[in-house]
Amino acid sequence: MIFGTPAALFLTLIALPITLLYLLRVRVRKVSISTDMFWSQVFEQRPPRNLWQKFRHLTSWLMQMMLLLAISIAAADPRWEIPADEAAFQVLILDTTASMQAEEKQGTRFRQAQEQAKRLVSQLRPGQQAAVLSTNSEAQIECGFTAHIPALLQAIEATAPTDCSGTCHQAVDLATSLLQPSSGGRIVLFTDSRPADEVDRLRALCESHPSDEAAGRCDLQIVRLGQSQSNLGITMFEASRAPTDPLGYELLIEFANRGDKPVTARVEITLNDVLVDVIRLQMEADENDSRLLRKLSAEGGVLEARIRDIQFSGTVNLTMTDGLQTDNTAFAVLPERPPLRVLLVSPGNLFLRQALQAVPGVDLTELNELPAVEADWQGHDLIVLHRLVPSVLPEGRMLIIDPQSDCNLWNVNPPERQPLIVQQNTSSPLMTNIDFGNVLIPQAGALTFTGTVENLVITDTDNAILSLCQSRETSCVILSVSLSDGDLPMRTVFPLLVSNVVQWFTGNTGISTAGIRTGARATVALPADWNSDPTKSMTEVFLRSPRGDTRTVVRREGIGRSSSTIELPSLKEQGVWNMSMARPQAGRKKQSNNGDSVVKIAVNLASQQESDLRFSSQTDSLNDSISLAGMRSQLPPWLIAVILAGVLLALEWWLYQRRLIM
Amino acid sequence: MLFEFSHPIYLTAIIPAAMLLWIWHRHSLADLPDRQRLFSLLLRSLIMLLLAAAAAGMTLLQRSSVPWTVFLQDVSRSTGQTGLEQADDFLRRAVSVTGNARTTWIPFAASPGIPRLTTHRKTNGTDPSVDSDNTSAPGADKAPVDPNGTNIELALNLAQSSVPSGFVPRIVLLTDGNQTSGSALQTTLKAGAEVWTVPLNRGEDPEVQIDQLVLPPEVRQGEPFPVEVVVSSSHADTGRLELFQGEFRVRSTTVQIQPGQNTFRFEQSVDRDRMAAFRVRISGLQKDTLLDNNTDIGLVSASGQPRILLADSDPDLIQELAFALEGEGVLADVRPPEGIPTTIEGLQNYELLISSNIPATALSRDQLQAIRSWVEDFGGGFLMLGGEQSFGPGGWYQTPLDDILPLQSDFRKEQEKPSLGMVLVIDRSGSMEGEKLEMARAAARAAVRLLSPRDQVAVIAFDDKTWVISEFQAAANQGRLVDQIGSLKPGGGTSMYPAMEMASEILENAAVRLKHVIVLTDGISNTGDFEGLAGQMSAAGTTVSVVAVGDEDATDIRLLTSISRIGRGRFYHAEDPALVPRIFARETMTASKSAIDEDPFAPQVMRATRALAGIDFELSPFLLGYVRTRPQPGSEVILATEKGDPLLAWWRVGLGMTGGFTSDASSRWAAEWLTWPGYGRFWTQVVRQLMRRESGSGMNIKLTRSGKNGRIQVQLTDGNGAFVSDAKGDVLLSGPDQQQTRLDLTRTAAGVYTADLTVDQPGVWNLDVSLTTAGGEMIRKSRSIYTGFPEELRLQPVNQPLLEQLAERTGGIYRPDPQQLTKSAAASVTRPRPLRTLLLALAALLLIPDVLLRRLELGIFFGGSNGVAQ
Repeated sequence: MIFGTPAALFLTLIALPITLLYLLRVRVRKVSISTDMFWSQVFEQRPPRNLWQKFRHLTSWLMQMMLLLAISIAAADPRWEIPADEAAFQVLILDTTASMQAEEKQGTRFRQAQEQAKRLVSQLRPGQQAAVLSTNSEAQIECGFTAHIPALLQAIEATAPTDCSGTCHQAVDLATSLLQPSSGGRIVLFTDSRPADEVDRLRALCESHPSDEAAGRCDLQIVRLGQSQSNLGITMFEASRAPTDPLGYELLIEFANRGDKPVTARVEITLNDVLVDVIRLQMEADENDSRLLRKLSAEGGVLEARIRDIQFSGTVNLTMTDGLQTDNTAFAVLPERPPLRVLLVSPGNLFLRQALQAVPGVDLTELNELPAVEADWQGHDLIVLHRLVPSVLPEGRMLIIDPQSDCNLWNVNPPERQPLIVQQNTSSPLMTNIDFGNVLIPQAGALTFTGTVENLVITDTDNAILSLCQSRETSCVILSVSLSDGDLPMRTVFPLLVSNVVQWFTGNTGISTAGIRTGARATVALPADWNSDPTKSMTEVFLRSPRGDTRTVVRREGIGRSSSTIELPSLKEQGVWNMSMARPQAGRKKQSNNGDSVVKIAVNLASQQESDLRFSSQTDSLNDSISLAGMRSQLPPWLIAVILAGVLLALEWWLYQRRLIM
Repeated sequence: MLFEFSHPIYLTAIIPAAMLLWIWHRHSLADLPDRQRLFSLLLRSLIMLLLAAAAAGMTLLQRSSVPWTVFLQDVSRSTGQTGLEQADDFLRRAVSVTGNARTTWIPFAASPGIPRLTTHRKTNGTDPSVDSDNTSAPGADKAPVDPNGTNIELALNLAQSSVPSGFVPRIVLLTDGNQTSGSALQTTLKAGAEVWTVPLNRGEDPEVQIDQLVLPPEVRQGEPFPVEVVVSSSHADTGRLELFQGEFRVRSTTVQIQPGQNTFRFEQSVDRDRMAAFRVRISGLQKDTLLDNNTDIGLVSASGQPRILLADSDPDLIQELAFALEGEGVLADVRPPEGIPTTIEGLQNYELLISSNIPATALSRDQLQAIRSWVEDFGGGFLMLGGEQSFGPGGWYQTPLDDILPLQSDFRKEQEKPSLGMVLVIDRSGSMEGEKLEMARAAARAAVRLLSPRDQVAVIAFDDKTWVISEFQAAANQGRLVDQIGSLKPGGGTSMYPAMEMASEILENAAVRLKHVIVLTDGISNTGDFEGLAGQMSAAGTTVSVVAVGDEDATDIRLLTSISRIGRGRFYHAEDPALVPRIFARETMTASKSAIDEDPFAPQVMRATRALAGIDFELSPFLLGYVRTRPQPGSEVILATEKGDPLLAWWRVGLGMTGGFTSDASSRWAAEWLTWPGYGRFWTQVVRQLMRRESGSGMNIKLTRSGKNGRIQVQLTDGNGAFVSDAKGDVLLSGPDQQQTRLDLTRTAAGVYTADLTVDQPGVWNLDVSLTTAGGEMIRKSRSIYTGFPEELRLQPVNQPLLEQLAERTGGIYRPDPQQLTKSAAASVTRPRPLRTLLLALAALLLIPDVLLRRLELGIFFGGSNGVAQ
């Protein structure tokens, strides 16, 4: 046995004054009486027990000494030595990944983990300390080392599961680092399921910590929670704007049936809470299914996919749900398609106007003559010049059809009659689905370019009727064919060419703001207007979670980082997060940030690992039985001493009051 | 203050205990005044209460602002010796103020080390910050952590985790703030945790550096694109900012630099290169401490006209072919053999490499390996044109490219060719031991295998004596000859003259038409009339070639050159012993004159192919010679000579194609072709057939990198622009050390495929992306990414803004004085203080008055008594 506070044994010195008090002879009080006859009778009937009389004093003193000793020992905090197979220091790791939210008969898996962890903590011996970590995509300390059981219980209770996936490497590594100064200890991982190879790596990590100074050995024990169950989940949900169709977008959804039985379900897809599609799922056991949906919408917003009416065959499922709810929903953000501002300068051509208006999303401005003011050229995504060409082309992107005058990029030569097309550069994106071969072109303009030009369609006289000319300030596609002669405007070539030019210049890549997986770090681009005003304080942005919590994120971590992007922290909640420059107002779900833009970010679980709630035969055997030595119901020695002291206290009191001792 | 009870059930014992005490008090027989007995009862009840409270685990929950200080010291490479000394000095002063209680020290770099408790000062004067179990001072201990990185986030996480419950974490972070991984500000710090930051710097020296060179990953040739240069500076300055494309400076401008970040933009274009390297440099600054960080490099991939590399031993002879190709829209760079890139990234600039009349000995091992890997793994094309130094006569037999050519270089000569008698004279002196002699044996074996059965060969070795390894015998005894060559072992000195004399004697009486001696030596022989002997041999019709292997200083180059000149042979100097087998092969083929046929002939079409479309070979002029070869099994022979030997053949090797044209394209054998109208068209179509097809017109690649972690994101669309979401594929990653890794691409969105990369070495990394659609169409594209020196080795000033932000956001102090560490924390935490010992001590002390009250009669204090007599 060892003593935690050996100095308390000095309390035994109190025996000296107590003993002193016992050595003092109690002066017998004298009471005057009239006769001692009756006292003689008492003495005769009850002869004095001389032997006991002698020991009454001593007994009282002994009892006081025993009482004092019990109290002193209790105060000195006696402890049994911790057996070699138990650890003085323990780290409890609670798995807070999404799969721990799976519902079981006894509550969620996480609740089971909490209960087991609390039991373990409650049975800590005196002298043992524990710390609590939580792990999902990152490891986090919940409570540092302490022997104070209520603090540990409180920390365990306060830990909550997340929507993240993750491994336990960081947590085990952190736990090992925490235990090393204490000559090792025990790590208890409360989790539902880990792949066998991950477990092997965790054990290896534990046993061979990379530190050269590893002094102690850390034991890793895994407590597996929950039962194997079937689950259907969404493992991918991404939306992308189509690269060629301004209104179109594509949805890629992947489902995983992680069950031993076939399943049917219904998936509802909404855009801004308006239903856009319903998918009927019918999947075999352990099957993956992916769907690619093509939709049209100019408006942007939040797409949500939700699985309903889940029914595994051969089972009666009144709730029509499965083991894990989190993966039954997924979100994506579809960006708006802003209108394309096109300026058409033309004396008038119906076909050209209609070809431009036929391109979805085009906002067309028409002029019959060249703008006189330079400012009138500004503010357009594309300028289309038909026959009319200024002497110096403005900056920007242009489609020029049948130019009739010289400019800084070319000189106009006499036109070519009856040109014969001999070469077409079909590899150029501008020539997608275009063939001039059968187009009747009675006359084509002939231009001599002053700079570098890429000729796309060439005649037998080496005259290019379709060219791409790029300079520092100007990019233009030149079609030197008259629209009023021949049948070009009436062929499909013409609107296709116009559409190709629009796509070429507007550079639609089709990728929208990609979703982020819960728990992952991601870098997102900031809107251009967040950088435009240097007077605004732009050191922080605000993130509002789906539940309404707000956190700040620093935009730039000192020197050396780009300010057009921001690295987001690990977002552990699934849903749509809002990022803004201004702090969101509390209590309002919809933000109105005085006109400041808000960036929506979709965060999804989308994890094959977390959606699989089954345990393989390998993982079944991983449930280490925690040494319950610390969990024996055993009274600590100090408590025994206190109880003994209490009993002695009461007993001595009674004996004294009945004058059995003095 | 609050109290809590860990086992409140024990408090229930108070009630029955109190009742019992009261009952017994009521029936007391004690002879004491009533009031005294009452006080005794109260006292005893109080003791009982104290015991019960102790048993119930009464704990005082006190709000405490006592900090637990964790010293987090950055020991990464970027802090340097000055930083370590600054940290040591701060720690000493800090520990002298705080003492060693409630402090921990954690070193960190790429990962954190082990938390340590600091102990009291030793009486022998040891530094107070030294751990009792470790004699080295903090900061000097660098072993446990990897110094090649800085991860402040992990260190902060460990630091706050190591603080015991009941104390406010106060983390004193000593670092320069330049993190290479993780994000310090994203660390989830507990409420109340303070981070105090102490900058460790290399001094207050002024510093300007290139932070970033931002380029688009992919452009079209001729298309202007923006180039952004980010320069950070500690002070205002003026400098010259230069931009280089390859070796050429394309922009130079004087710039005004402000403290902090400065961004400069240029516009550039790429006209010819497929992979253009841009380098930016800042110079001419008034104050700048370190120059290593004043440059940066970026890569741009440019799509456009195909570009090939045309290499010829004499570049002037191949200009006609280059002109013809350029006229047909194929850009051609003409270079000598040494101009062929030695790395894959150099070859990535081209779609096809044409080797025209180049011997294998003119190319290094690196060049040969790079070409082979580029063809097989990156889809490059390779075409060998004939000439006196191509195929067999060029010594290409058994070279790394010999396997991948569609034509075999080990052509055995025909019967009508004259027989050859050859003697190999090989130096076996002690200096030849090891790789040199191994290569000599390999060379001799290769030479024997190239001979026809009618040829005769002997092998002689010499050191200070002459040894006959193989008697002069027919090359048909190949097996025995090879065995005998295997017995060649190193010996003693170097006496070459007797060996040459013996070779001369052997050949003098040999009944062969051609006589040739090849001498191999690495040193300086004993004296002898070598030149005279060479002259005699030449007069007798024996040619002598000499191969000197090793350093120039160790061999008598002048003498050996003279021997070969007098002997009407050739002289080779091979610094790399690995070249010796190629030299011997070349020599053997040349000496036997077996491989070249210089009779005019008209090409014969053997197989119709699109590459020959529109070319009428009936009207083509003669070619005046070719190199005899044999087609490899599986290759396609497209054109042949009138004698049936292959003229043009090709086949697929890995992802690329290789071809061989056994005649040439220049004035030696193709003089009449140069004026043929079909010349340009023929070669253009052959080139287009063999060159790499980057079919990735629907593929957009985005490459990002942070430290050593990179990500490639590939977007795939079809001809109509729709996403292709059903493809499967991978990325071949080739590092600066030419090690290759293949990574699967995972679909992460409609038409988007992603893979994560690890690029942990400085240099150029080449990626070949390959996706195959469900319809079986393969789409490929190549990219490169440049990684400079590890971020940790970039010399950067202190990241003051980060350190200030960390301190400000957590309520800490930037640049604290150690004296300030005595301050209480601003936050407070609940600190449980178990009261058990106190309660029990109090109970024990109360026993004294308890006994006092019962041992002494204190009626004068408590009044009368119940009158029971003793």
